[in-house]
Amino acid sequence: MTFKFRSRIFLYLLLLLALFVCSQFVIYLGVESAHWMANPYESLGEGLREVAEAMGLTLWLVPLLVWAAWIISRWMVRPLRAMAKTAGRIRGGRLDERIETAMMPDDETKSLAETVNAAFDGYAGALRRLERFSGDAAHQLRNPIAAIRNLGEVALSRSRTVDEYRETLETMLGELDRLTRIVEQLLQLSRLEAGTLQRRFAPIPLRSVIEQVRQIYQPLAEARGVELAVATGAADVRIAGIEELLVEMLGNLADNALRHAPAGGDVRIEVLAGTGSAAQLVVTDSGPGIPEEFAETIFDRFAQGPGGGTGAVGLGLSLAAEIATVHGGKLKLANPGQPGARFECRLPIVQT
Amino acid sequence: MKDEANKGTAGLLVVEDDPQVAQSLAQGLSEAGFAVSTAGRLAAADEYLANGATALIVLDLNLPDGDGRKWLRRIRQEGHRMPVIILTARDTLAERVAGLEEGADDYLTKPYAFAELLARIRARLRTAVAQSDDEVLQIGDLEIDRLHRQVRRAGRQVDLTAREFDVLALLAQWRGQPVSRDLLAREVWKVNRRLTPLDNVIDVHLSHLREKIDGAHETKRIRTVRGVGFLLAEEAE
Repeated sequence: MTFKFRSRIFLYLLLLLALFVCSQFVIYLGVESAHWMANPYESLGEGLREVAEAMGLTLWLVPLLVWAAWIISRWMVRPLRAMAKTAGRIRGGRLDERIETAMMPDDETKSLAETVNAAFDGYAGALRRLERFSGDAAHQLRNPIAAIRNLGEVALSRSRTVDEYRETLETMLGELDRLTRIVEQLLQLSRLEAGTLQRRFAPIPLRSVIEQVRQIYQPLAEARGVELAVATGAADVRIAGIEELLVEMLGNLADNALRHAPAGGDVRIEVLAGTGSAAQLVVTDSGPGIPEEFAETIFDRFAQGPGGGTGAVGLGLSLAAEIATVHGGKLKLANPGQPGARFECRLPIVQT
Repeated sequence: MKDEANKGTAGLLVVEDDPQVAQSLAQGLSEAGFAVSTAGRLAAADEYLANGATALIVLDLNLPDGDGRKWLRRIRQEGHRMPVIILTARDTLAERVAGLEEGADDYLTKPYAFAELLARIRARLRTAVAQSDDEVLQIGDLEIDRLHRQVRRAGRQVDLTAREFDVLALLAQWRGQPVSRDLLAREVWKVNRRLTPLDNVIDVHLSHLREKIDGAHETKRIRTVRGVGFLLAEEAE
């Protein structure tokens, strides 16, 4: 036999009431018997009648107490009912509804309601990001497809010289390359999110990752007239991870920094001894920085920074952030609204 | 009709069910000088194998009448030893390893650059550019010593950075054929350029190489094939 939560509370209260009445009866009886034992000349019957009278009064109160128990039980489950109802509405698609906690007493039910609300906040946010992402993905894939289509149609609309056809085909291949890259990056993001890469983790010296990235981007920095400064003072630590992914992460950060640093400026890659068991990888450029209104979305897929026209599709920073997360770390923009964007990546280190 | 195994001399067999892909591969490979046959189904591929000599198989994995990998395992058990290059859209590491374990010699993920497929086929058939295993490659007046990592143009030493040399050596290895940016990124920088931004880096190296190799010379050896990659020309234009 199953009882609803409310009936259960009601039954507990009734049980308590019954226990109280019984113990009252036993105590009265005990007191009267003790009195009779001490004064054996008095009649026992007198005492028992007194007990019966007292119990009778109590029994008159019982219906009132039962009614109070019924009300109390309802009052106790009310927050839970409200939560279930709201959760049901949210499940039904009304993602902005939240459980009303303002009137709740500051107890476990309130903290439960707040936890549930926070979980819904998280899901609603994720869902909104996902919606925006699929929209953006479709949009970003459409652009190169439209370009390829237009190029083909225009080329075939009248006859052209061989050189013109060649040029069309070359441009088409360039657009296809862009398309391929977007698809590959999206696939990589879903691979990272699938969370199965951890099986391939090995201890990777952070210094070697930084060194590889420095070697790759040094010539580009020189060609751009940007100084690429690498300070690896605290880099003699190892990260549990996949080396190619870590290179990919830092590579995307370095490329981003190099695109924003002006000629004559600098890009710095440094490792700071982080707090406790983490290392802090910092990439700073001397560019204009990232305004606060972009700080929130800078790691979103297809996010475009200020100006937008740097030629990037907007997946590089998403990839970097996702790689940091896969490695148990966190990538963040440390100084929104200030000149010289500073990206900080906290990575847990392998203890030796 | 496309399912019929077209007979040919000892040549390449392309097992691919998408007619557009099969046709473009056949055209490209024929123009590169190979005798090419196509099969759209495994049954047709079997028939072809039974009837003629095949130098190399280009194999798609998703075929209407079966799994290409199982088929590959079977023909290996039957004793066919020719090189097999798998082309597929499935690209997880596990898939890749499984493909190679079934007896494939190489594995290319769609979309791939045709130049790269061609390069791999030639490498497998060892008909790649003559003397490509030589330590010193001679291309016109350009001399590339891969052992001592030295380059001379018209007898004069050219100083290159290590990466510039690696790029030049790769172009020289595939001389006369365009080398894709993907291949350069993978071979020289060991990264996937679709995930690690590298185009600007590649451009910087190519522009340095042009300056150092071709700068003072009439014949420009390093050429850009727009949309495809770069090539080291054997002949003067």
